[in-house]
Amino acid sequence: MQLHTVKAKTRSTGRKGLNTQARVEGNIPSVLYGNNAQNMTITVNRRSLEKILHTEGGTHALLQLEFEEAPEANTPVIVKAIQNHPVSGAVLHVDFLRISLDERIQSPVSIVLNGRPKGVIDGGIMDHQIREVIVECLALDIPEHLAIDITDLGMGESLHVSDLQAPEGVTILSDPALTIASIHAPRVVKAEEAPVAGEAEEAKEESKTEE
Amino acid sequence: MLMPKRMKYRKVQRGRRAGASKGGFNLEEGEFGLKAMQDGWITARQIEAARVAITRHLRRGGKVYIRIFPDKPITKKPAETRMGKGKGAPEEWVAVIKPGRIMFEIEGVGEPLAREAIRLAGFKLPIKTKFVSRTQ
Repeated sequence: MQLHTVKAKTRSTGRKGLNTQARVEGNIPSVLYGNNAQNMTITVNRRSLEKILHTEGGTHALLQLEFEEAPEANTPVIVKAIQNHPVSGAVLHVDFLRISLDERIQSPVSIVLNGRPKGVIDGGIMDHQIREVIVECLALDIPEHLAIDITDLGMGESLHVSDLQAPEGVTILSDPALTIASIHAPRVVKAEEAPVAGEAEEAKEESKTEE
Repeated sequence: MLMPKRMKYRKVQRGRRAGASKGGFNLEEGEFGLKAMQDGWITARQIEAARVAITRHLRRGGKVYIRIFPDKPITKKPAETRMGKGKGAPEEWVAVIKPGRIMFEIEGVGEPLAREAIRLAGFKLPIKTKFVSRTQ
């Protein structure tokens, strides 16, 4: 996975108004922690971060935080948690976890399903159950996504984590028995059409005899 | 219609609906969803009407998730009754909704079909709603 550079600044804590002010100025209040170093409260530019999160690496992107006023604090990070506004969905706060590029780390990776399953073409419904798996590898080896072809998936069949093929050097830690997607037959619903007159009379007679 | 199987107290107070939803504002199961943009009480009948609107438009394709449940009893006094003489009888069940809440989710269909189904379901509800998808 590519390392994206994001400019960051340190911020002071204390009053909630400072965070609100940072958001008004187009920055996202964030916290940086991990790797046995001191925690730091920081802000990052909203536009540059959202561009990376929405388009390129997704929420699992690998970032390089760069501080103009404190270059010694520059570090590679992954996004550990994102807080969104309940209504607008805007990013309110981000947790960054420091990582080391020469150590194996654990990270979630999205699963991408390619193709239209045979079972769906036959009228089935696809149930997409898990959308990401946890992998362990070197930070730069984290795949952007794990793609799998599902065109041969028929009715009543399932795709499991064990069917995923990880690139070299990447270990999938999620339970291999977990179901990623399955194809179900649609539920049969009684036709809502009104019965023909003759049939209706027969039905009435039948119901009387049952009583 | 949806309603609790049993309840501890038959009648409850009205409560308040200040602020935004504290949970249930992310898509969990489906690809697309119907998000509340206002607060309100959604009755069991309205939930059922919205569900029927979605399933009819999807023509029984896809999968529909209902993320809200009407667990609050609402009482009503009979017509032409003088005030007093105690609280009215339980009349209906409602779900208390705050802005941001995902009320319905759809999975297994394309975006144009899901968008139209969600639009039709929105007409059955007494609050402003919005279509949301995972790709947004």
